[in-house]
Amino acid sequence: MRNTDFSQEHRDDDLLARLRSQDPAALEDLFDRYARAAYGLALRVCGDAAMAEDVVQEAFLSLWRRPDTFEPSRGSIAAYLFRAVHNKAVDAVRHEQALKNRERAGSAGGMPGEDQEVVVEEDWLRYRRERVADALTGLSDRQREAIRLAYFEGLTYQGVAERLGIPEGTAKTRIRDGMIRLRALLDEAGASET
Amino acid sequence: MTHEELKDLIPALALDALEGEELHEARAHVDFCGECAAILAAHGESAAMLALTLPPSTPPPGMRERILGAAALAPAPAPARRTGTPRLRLRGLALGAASLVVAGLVGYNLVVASRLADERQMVSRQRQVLDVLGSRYLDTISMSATGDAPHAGGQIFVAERGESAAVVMSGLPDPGGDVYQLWLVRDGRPQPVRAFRPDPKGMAVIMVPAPVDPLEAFVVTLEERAGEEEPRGPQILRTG
Repeated sequence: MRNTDFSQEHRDDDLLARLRSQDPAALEDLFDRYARAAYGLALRVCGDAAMAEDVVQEAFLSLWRRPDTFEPSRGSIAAYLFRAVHNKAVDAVRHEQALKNRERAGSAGGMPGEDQEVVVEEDWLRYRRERVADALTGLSDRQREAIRLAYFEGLTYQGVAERLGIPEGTAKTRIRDGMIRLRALLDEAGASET
Repeated sequence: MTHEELKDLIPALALDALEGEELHEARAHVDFCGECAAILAAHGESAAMLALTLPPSTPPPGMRERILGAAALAPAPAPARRTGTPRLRLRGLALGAASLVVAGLVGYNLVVASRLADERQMVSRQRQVLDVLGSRYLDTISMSATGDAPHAGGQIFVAERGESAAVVMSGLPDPGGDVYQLWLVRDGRPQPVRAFRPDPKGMAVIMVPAPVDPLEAFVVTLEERAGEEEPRGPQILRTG
């Protein structure tokens, strides 16, 4: 099983080494490489630009201040950063009850946002975006919806169950099976690259 | 919860779709189970890939400068330097004692961790704690037993004026089916930090999320289950 979907091999390894040596330019590179995707995620979950900026700032600074908390054996820097952004965004939303903000922002029914500006992105990010979009088509509609509600709406699996009007166990199973299926499809796509 | 039940929760944990007792138990389990930690890492990669299904969005003007500016104001901790000042001699004693505790944990856990992932996980945790102990600025707070566990003891090491803290405890009796809970008392109200179980030697080490004020109080209670919002069981250890 591939452990890293984001690794740009030597580029991320070099970035980690520079972060650990407290090279200020490393934080600049980290921001330039991942900030747009990170901010897009935070904005989608929080539905509030100010809250999203706070979340992204906390995530970047936490990695800058404690790069030793990141273990390469457990995933890529990008995954670590996006997980931090998502976790902080979900905490902020649940705490601040920002559901109204999200509704005002007009959350999209599907996975991709449809009202985002077009931004030029690096080829490797675009390639991976296409790869995960392809993999998501391999999930059932129910699995995809459950994951969408949990990840992009910041709902617990109990919240997903309530939203969909299904038992909590069913929601948990859809999320679990969907994520397992997604992982397998991403691994297949990754294996087919080499 | 059983291992299989907790393993089933890992995908939801990767999506931040857990809360309360399940969240506490799942996180605690991942800290000690190499298999589930590896599963969480894999699903974490998938979850991060989900972020890419959103088109990237240009951050607000000035955000880059604000983040870089904040980083410049509060740089990452510098490597520790040991000198002979009285404060640091005392810290040296505390470091020595705590390092033995941490080393004991490493030794025990390496014996029972037969998988490389488990070993790396344990070493990573111990390194986090040792980083705290090796910090240039360190406050030490002692915890004393309350009577229900007279041989228990603990110390809280607060590094870099609250940037991080490690709670090192020993002499904790086996809680059986119950669980210990660490609380941070802030503004007179106890806030749950972490539910945990000691190792067979009665030792436990917990990293406390920043910020931590050395003047705040910490309490350890014995609870029937993890995820309590307020203390219900007897106090085992406390500061002050």
